[in-house]
Amino acid sequence: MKRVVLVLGFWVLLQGVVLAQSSVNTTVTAKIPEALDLSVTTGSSIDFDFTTNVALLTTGIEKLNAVILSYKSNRPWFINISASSTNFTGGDAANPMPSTVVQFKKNGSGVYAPLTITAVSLSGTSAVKNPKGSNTIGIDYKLTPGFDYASGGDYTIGITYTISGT
Amino acid sequence: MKKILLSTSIFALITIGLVSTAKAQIPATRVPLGTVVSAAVPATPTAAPTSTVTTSIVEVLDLAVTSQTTSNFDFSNITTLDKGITNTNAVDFMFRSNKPWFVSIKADGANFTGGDASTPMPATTLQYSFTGVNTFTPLTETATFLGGSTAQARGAGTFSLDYKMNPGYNYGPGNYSLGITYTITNQ
Repeated sequence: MKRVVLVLGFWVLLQGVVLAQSSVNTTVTAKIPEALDLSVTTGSSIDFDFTTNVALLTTGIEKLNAVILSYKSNRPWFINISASSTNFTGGDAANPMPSTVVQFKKNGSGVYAPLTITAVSLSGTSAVKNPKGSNTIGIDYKLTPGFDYASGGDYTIGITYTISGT
Repeated sequence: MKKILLSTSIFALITIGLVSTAKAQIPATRVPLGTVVSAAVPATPTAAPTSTVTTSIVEVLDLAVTSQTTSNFDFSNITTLDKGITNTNAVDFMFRSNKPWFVSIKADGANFTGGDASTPMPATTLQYSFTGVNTFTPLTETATFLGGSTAQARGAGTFSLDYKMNPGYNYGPGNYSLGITYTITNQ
């Protein structure tokens, strides 16, 4: 009799703790396209003014973070930089100022390199790409014209930045 | 002679019997006036009859998806990668329970399947909230009660979930998929 009571007691207890449950499922899908975007957020126009101090012609003028690029890429990427033309426009046409007078480097790293019409790496390369993501890159510029180029004129050159995933 | 006497006796007995019977059948209305008639009436009965109704109610704990078994996020417009996409009423549910209940949610895997295998997109990229509450929680593989640790009252009804995804630019282009399991339980 005791056994029966004991068994019944366990049975009642078990009824009280039995886990009852029911489950359903759904699926979430996401379609993500390729995103590769680059924009100039600061420094769409950079002005180097040598008129206030002649000494600057030889020491040069350096502008840190003169340009801030904003990138967004969901693929590994790299950014190249190039001059839009071989020479500056303006000034003395007989003695044009070449793009190489402008030197650049990624802010916080590397050394200055002369700017040419050949696209070269600013950050990452086709072989060693940067990880996907979004952020900004600062570019430092330095201009040292010396005394080789005529005064009294304004010189202008365009610079192209290209982000690529391949 | 003996036979005659026997027949006579039997006739006499039968006659007496008939007379007796006739007397007993006199109706009460013929009782002379002034006669007291008494009768013993039994006391009123006090019986309390009972009956029993029994029923057996099974435990009901049911959850169903009533719409949107698949929730799609299309980031074809690149700007949506900047701010994310919120799917309101992404999934609608119907519940029935005759016990206090909880509903849990969990991802079927740590990461989405598909897309760029080099940077798998984690389940936590997807966030959920009760519709209208706008308090989003990242989805994980660990089952989490939607309504917290307080059991919901028994009954039947519906509820909906909003989903939000903001993958940014951390995951490569492609098609991603993730299963989600919802479980209603009594404890």
